[in-house]
Amino acid sequence: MSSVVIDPVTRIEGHLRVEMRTKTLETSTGNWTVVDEAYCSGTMFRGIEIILKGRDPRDAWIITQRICGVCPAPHAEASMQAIEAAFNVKPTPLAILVRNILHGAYYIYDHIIHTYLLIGPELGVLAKYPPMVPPALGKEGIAKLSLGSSYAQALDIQRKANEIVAMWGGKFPHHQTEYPGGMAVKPTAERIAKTLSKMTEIWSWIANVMVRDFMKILEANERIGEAISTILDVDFRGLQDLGASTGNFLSYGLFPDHENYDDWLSILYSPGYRKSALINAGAWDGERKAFDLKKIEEYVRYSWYENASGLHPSEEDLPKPNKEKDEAYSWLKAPRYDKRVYEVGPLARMINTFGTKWKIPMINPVTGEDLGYFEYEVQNPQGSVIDRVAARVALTLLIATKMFDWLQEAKSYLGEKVTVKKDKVREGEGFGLWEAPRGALLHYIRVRDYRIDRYQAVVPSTWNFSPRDDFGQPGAAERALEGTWLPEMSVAKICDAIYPEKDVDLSPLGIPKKVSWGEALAPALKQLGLARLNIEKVNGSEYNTTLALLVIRSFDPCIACAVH
Amino acid sequence: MGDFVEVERHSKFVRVCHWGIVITCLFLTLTGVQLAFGVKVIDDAQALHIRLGFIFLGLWILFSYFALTEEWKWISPKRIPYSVKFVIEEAIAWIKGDHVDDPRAYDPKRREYVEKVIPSQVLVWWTYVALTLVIGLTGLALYDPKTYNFVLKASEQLSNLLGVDSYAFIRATHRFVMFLYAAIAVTHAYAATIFGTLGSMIHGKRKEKVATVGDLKRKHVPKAIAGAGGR
Amino acid sequence: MIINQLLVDLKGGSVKLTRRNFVKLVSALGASAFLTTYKSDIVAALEETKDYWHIAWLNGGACTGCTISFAQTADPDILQILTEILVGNSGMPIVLPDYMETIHLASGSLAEEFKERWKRGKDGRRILIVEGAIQDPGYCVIAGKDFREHVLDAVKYADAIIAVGQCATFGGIPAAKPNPTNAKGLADFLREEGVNKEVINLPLCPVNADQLVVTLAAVVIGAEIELDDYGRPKMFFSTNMHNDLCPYRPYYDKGQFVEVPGEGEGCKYKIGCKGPITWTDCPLRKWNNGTSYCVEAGAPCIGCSEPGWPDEFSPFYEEVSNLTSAIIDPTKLGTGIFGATLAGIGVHAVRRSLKSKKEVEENE
Ligand code: HEM
Ligand code: HEM
Ligand code: NFV
Ligand code: SF4
Ligand code: SF4
Ligand code: F3S
Ligand SMILES: [Mg+2]
Repeated sequence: MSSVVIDPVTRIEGHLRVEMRTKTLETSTGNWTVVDEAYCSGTMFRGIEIILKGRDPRDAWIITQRICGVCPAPHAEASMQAIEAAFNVKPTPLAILVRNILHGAYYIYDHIIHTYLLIGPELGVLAKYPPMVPPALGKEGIAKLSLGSSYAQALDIQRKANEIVAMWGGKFPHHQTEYPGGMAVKPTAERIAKTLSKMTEIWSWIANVMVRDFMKILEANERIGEAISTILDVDFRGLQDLGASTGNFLSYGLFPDHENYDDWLSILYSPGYRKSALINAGAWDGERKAFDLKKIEEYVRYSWYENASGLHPSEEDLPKPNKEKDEAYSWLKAPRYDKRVYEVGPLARMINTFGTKWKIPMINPVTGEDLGYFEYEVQNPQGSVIDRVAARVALTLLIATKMFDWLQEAKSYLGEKVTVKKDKVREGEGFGLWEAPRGALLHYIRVRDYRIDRYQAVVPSTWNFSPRDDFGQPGAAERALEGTWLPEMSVAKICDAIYPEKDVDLSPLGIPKKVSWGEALAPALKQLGLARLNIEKVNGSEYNTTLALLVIRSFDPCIACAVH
Repeated sequence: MGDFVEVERHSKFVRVCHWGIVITCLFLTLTGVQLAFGVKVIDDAQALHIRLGFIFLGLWILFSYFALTEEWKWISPKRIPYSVKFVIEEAIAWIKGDHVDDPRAYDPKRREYVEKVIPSQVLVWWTYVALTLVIGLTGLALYDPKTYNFVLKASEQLSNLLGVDSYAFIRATHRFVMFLYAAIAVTHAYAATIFGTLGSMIHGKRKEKVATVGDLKRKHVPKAIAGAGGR
Repeated sequence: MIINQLLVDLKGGSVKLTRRNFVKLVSALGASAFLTTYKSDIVAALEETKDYWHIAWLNGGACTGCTISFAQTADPDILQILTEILVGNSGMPIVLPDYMETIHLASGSLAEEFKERWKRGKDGRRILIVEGAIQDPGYCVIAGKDFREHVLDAVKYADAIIAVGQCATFGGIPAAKPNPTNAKGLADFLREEGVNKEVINLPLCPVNADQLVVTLAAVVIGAEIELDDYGRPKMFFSTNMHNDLCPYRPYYDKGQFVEVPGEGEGCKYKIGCKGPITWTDCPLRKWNNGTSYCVEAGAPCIGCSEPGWPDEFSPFYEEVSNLTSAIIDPTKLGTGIFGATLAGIGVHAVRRSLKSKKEVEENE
């Protein structure tokens, strides 16, 4: 056994260290190194909950946004809903629509960034699909080889999505326009019209490029599966057999119905599904179950805190950091539902809302052009790399389509009140339950004497990247890493093993030659100083962590979030 | 009953300055309230406020010049302790349902006051000076924070102590002093009315009591008076 | 004024971008307008240097919002910056062996090796960008090494140092009371460590992408950037939101205020706008490709460009003049004193009039 460490894990948000203890898998084709146990450590702590104590409750949503600059908007929303619950005030229907529009645009940006910039490069390389490989040869590479064409467009489209956020929020990251009981932004016909025009472009890109890119990866996936099965002589279908976790999926629901906010709120007081929302709540463990807020607890035995373990978020004290604590190995706590490990994120949202078979119509909301359906069936009930990517693409499409409905609906509310102002309460407490892109997000606020007395955030990446809990159960990602193959070869070699044929035509670059995919990559990587991409050296052996990184990144880790 | 003689109590110069101050102060308060609370008074409250602010400060400088050169003996800070005692006596007397005799008196032979101002007005004067200094400096700092940066710098330690930005502190101080100003002004105006000097600030003249030697020997007069007032 | 003349010339399209008028042009136009107007000139100026600039972007006690903000640049966009502008004609792309955790390809030990390569980059051409606060030892550890060490090490090699965002400049949210990890800005940290190197501070939360691009361009073409007392480029941070730039100012002067967020038109002073105590050019420059900014969207400005933020600027929805309210509220205290005075006078007057009546009666 040796220990392969990735530190820092990059192309994520924040500071994550992953340690993988290995074991040997003996098959007819040889001895292979696979992950036996994994340990995920968040290595940066700020103490935002401590900072919140004593402040004006209305400031909480602005401060908690700064938990993370990749997903500030969801923190704002969860926080605002917690404040509203404590203040006992409801946003107006118009405000709910405006929030859906703002947060919908935000979602589109976030899922696109992850799919292309963060997890995309490995997918593009493994799928032998140049549009998703970063534009390593600049403009020329994009023009001649389509190398990075989707990557470059993704940058453009995410920016346009964020321009919508800025239009309704003032700026992004860190929008500024929420208020207890409504929104500070005035909905106008002009804002709606501008949003519609941006959404028209964004929608077509998602339907025509993002969905197509995913289909290409899906096609290549079979090849990847066959090749790896042959090399290892194991039954490996492809990326659906990479990164399986517990099969428990938690979702809090997303995008309330502006005409049925009571259904949205009901879950704060009794178990439920939030059926009227675009995305439902639920605690899937092989079948659909109602979500019950009471069943959440946070464990800290392996976390650098002196706090009591196993408490409900409303009972937890402010964090008491202690970096010297015995056994501890992370700044993340270990949230559990019903004492068990649940995965959160896009896949959890899709499964809790639509089950394991999804069929999303692709009808251009502006032209009416029918592009058929985006159809997908979850391939691994325990979750997997490909299922998580699929869920992200599906949600991007779903939300982009829904944006048009909200905009249309908002038009009919123009002129009505957007805010019923509520400024303070002497005593109160409340939960905000929302879905961030990375999964279920909970904020809790307790107000005493008009000030924040206690604040608690339990964040998606805390669920997914938690260390072990008091019962010794590894976190969702730790579990998903178990069994992952750590090949002892370079990235170019892996590519050659999957795609031996020499069919990459270099003549557009003035090189009259056909080479294999690996042969094309090797010199490019070398020139860029990336020959040793994803290689970790341990006791003289060199392990390639590409597959492990795919598993890690499939959860879209955000460690600033996870620790806060 | 003593004798009375009519004298010119306030020169035209003083009166013009005084009412100029009163009027600018009134409009400063109105425009200030609009700036602070949105009580609509006039379209461009900001411009009027700042212009009036400068006129107000100018008048105050003239007024102070006069006070320094002509009235110093009545209002000099040396008289502050005496004034405080006087006010206390006055208050005690008031509670008992009694009142302190008016010390003001005029000596027609020498054609000058033996005592010109009610001692409590000495305190009013100095409070005015302090408040005007504060409201003026904070106003200037709000008007042009770069030029009057020294005001911000000077207040920094205090604002740090309160944990706010020094400019916010200046703003809060400016607003707060407005209230103090108003409080002093109404007290002062009330006192002027009940001590019968209002008319003298309008037409300049007042019937003053003719001073007798006994004036200085009344037993209720605090010791401090002897020698302290204008002799 | 020079600026006015420049603007007139600009309209006629007669001003060429030079190192000397660079800063003036930025101040006159605001960063985003400057970037759109002079994009081709910048690219041309940079291509002339035909040399690759090495950038290491380090993340400490950060939320990565500044990275995301940088990724929102439009004209030029981030891809152009990293592939065309900063690298001149070298043709090297986004995945260059520089360091930027959130987007570069390398992970783990190769990522750490990227930092070493940056250090070996060409003398005079190494830019260090720091995002996030610097905390006490143990609160931010990367590759087994404390973030403080990473910074001190990199600073030695940097030819220009840019701190981006509130956290890296003034400590930001992590340094807010009670500052659990003793977080501070880069300049303060270096001062404490006895390192004497200039830091260009680009505060705001997050950093404004256009400001960062302009600053990078200024560094690269060698334009002199004048800094204020807090290390912020004067071209961005010398105008007061409220006195110099705010388009809602006429409402303030008229006394027309928004009282319920989102309802009605007016100045945002009464819902807590910190414009009067904030020195930035947000109204000129705006955010996200010039789309909007906080006040335009209806929100109060919260003053994220200033040292002392957030503590000295909160409660965010409290009026500027009431900010001392944690201890005293000048309006309430003032009204109280004024009211008490009136009451005192009232009592005095009533008693006086009763007494004089009595005296009149006695005399009769
Ligand atoms: C009796 C005298 C004065 C009163 C009662 C007064 C009152 C006020 C009040 C209430 C405000 C609004 C403050 C806030 O927003 O909280 C204000 C603002 C201001 N005052 Fe005065 N003020 C006086 C004298 C002056 C003077 C002498 C100046 C100096 C030139 C001045 C300059 C300003 C300025 C520049 C502002 C800020 C306006 C802005 O918001 O830009 N004030 N004043
Ligand atoms: C903010 C506004 C005001 C200021 C700054 C102010 C200032 C002064 C000062 C400094 C004096 C002392 C002059 C002296 O010792 O001879 C004075 C006297 C006087 N003020 Fe005012 N005043 C103000 C408002 C008023 C108002 C509203 C009234 C009347 C309703 C008034 C009536 C008088 C009178 C009658 C005197 C003469 C008092 C005396 O001779 O003892 N003042 N004022
Ligand atoms: N985990 C997390 Fe976040 C998200 N999405 C969330 O609340 O990334 Ni920064
Ligand atoms: S208070 Fe704010 S909104 Fe109002 S004028 Fe000043 S900067 Fe503009
Ligand atoms: S307007 Fe104020 S809060 Fe908004 S970005 Fe500018 S400085 Fe920050
Ligand atoms: S809160 Fe985030 S946006 Fe930058 S300034 Fe701090 S890292
Ligand atoms: Mg927490």
